[in-house]
Amino acid sequence: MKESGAAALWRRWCSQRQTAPRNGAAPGALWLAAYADGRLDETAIEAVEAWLADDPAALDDLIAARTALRAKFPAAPEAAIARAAALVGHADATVVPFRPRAVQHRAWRTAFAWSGIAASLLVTSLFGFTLGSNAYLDLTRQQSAQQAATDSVLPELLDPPTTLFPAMEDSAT
Amino acid sequence: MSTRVPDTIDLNALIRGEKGAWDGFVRRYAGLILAAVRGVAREGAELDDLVQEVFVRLCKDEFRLIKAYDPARAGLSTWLTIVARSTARDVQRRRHPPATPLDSVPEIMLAVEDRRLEPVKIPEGMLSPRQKLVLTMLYDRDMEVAEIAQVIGVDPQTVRSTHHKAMLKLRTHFALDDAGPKTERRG
Repeated sequence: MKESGAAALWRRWCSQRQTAPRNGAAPGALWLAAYADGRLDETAIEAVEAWLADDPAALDDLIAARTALRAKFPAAPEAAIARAAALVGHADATVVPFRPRAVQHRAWRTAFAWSGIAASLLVTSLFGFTLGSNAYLDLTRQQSAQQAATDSVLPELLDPPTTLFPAMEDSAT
Repeated sequence: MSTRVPDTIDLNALIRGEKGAWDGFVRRYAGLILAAVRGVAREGAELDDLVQEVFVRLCKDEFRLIKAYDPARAGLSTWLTIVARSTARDVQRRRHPPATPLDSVPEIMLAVEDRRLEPVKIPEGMLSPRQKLVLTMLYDRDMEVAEIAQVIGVDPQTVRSTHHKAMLKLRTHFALDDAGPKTERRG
């Protein structure tokens, strides 16, 4: 039935035709499944076939669905079955998240890290402040002592008591 | 001897989220879904992950997808096969978008397209949807008549007849097209 001339005509037609813009969304899985099961009316069949001619993936799905109707499938591995079964059945009837929630653990670790850094800075600052304060106090104490010493010597130098030079006083009288 | 997967399942219990119904559904259809995703899985893909993604999609948003299924329109096995393949393709496309190395593309394919296109010569609707579908499967997919008949749900003679009518249309069209406009042939 397949002639090289017929194939050439088909290729020529494909190269020259303009694919008509699709009106609306592709037929969903239910439409394709209905077509595969032979449950569509003539109008719907024509619409689905028009789509299939331009959608290789949909045509692959149709062929696979037709094959599935006749096939007997081996059971899936028990691990896969258990994993899928675990998706439903929790006390609050919510779906178990597919990925484990690691975000909260990461947030705690980050908080602890930043707290440690802040505490280190605080301790270092206090230590430095303390050292600096002590140094300042020592310096001021030294200055005070020197000043006191100067204050005690200077008046005697400027106005010495008479007993300091007794010979002069004797001669004066 | 029938080898079909039985479609008897309590959909209402499934949609209500009953654990027993879900476990039974998983156990019954996991094999079918695995076979379906195997057909579209890329090399190196984790089949178990793809199967899990299909089940996640089925129970997502309080079983929204299963609620959209109508048993009066199509069988559950057929519908699940199509949903599984579609989901597997979507997942793989999201995780690993198909990419072609630039060096492997012939230079001619990278050329800038000439925008001066020839006018479309094929009248819209010249071939019926079924005719296009049959020719696509015959010449693009290299399928046999019996296979095509089984896929589209008709007998093989119908496929041959469809092919014959399509070829008549194409030959007529291209014969006229090759002959040129009538004004050129006069005189």
